[in-house]
Amino acid sequence: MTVAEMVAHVRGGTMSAREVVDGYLMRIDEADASLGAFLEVFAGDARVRADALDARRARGEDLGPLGGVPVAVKDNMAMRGRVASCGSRMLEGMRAAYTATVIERLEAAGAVIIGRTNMDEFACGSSTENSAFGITRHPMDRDRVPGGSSGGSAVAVASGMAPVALGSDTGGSIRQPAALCGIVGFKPTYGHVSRYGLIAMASSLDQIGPLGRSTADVAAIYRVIAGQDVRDATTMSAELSFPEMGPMDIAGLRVGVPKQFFDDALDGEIAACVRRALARMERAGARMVELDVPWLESALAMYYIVMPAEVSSNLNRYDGVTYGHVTPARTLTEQVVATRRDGFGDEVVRRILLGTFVLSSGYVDAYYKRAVAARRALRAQLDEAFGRVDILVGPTSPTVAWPIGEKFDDPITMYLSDIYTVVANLAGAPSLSVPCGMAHALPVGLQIMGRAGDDARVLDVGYWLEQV
Amino acid sequence: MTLSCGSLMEVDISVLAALAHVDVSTKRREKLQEDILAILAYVETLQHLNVPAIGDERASLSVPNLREDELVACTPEERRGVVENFPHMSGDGLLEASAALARDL
Repeated sequence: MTVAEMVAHVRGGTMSAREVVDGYLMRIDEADASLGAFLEVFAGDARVRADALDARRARGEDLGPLGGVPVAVKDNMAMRGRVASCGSRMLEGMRAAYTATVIERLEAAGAVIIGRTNMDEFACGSSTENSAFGITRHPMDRDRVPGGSSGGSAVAVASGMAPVALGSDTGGSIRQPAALCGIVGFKPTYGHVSRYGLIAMASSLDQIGPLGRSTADVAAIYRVIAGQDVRDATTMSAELSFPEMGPMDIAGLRVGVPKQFFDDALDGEIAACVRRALARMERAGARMVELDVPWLESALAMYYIVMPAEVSSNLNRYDGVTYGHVTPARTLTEQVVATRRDGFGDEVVRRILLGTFVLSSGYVDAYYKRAVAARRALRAQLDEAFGRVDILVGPTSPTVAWPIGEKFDDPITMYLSDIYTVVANLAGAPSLSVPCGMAHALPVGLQIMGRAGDDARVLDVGYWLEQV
Repeated sequence: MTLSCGSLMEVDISVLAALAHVDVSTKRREKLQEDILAILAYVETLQHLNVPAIGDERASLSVPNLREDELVACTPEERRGVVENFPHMSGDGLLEASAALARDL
């Protein structure tokens, strides 16, 4: 059932919000023990909330555009009074003092938050193997990873435990697990969705976005959560445009195909899936434009300097003094060091050390400042490309879901799984991953990227692809 | 504390760990050293490119014109939530932190 159908059933009284919520809670009971998507299920509160919605409907009140729709939320978004652990021992018992703007907006629109989902610790990872609370498994093959870091949210949706979910995307953490699990994931333009209440990883790259079973479903969530927020100064004041989600003629659409998206890292079967989708677009009248965007070749290198620099800065706040895990020691300094030793996992420590290195005196010009300047050059080259094309299209991930443990001890190989997705974060651009077939009997995702602010077009093209 | 310029092989994990306030065991140090050197070797590609002049780092942000920081009061519920997360609280309801110096020093 789509989000629109669910809302229509609840609004029309052919199904109660309680029936919808109970259905998903039952599915979680059946499936999650072997998947590990949820860290906590809010069964009691979700039922109370659903009953309240049904009572409101009985009184003739409008429930809002998401009335009765269950939503799973990544464990890095604050909900007042609830644990937001970010998949880390550091925040295991920390209860949020306030609620994230996206959660407030979802609830005001009638959504029912049904639980918090597993993730790589502090969103540092591409496989959901780095959570302090256990790994999440792929819904089609329990011996494979679901991608990450929003792996819990992706698996919740792909396995029917939630119709839609929220994730966060710093270098592909919504789109890559969506691609690996065969669902849709959307990273909006930086500044379109408030980050107030999102536990920060890399602030110039982080963006909250939806995962769902269709582009229409993720668009329904995006429509609710997008917009300016006075509590997040980086949100945009400009009026946003939203997708049509209707019949669309793509004749004349200029589709940019950067040659750097079809490099040696790309699996041959995945390349064939993406090429078939491009051929469908061309047959419908879209104009294919082969592009050479040289800075794309260095995007991952830029990302693995800028991101850890921001991670090391943001995670400095975890010292065991005001909240979170604390390991007692003789002095304050010893306590801070012991707390961070016991509270952080290996991948987080690796990124903190790397970030500390690239920001340290003697290296900051050669690494961090150089990466920032290169990021600006990449953006300029993309702006130029968007003068010639309307969208960029390519694969979301160079590989399909891989066996658990295969890349765990090899950070470079793991980081390469983000090679096509980090571009949108560096550029602040909207990017959507939609399913486009199967390779090696596992799902493949196609990535559609637009210029910053062109979220509606990206979603409309994704919708078109689903219809053909 | 600063790191001296030198070859990548000279990256000293224990100095980095001290700067970052993390404690890395001897067992983990070797693997971390190996990983970080591999990552730095990968990102080294940027060193060989003609990168435009370095200017204002904020220009890389999507929203260049940020407002000034303003002090905004929190609600009583938010304040209560923050206080409830204090690891240690004194009898008069204030945050209690460990001593900056050890007693036996």
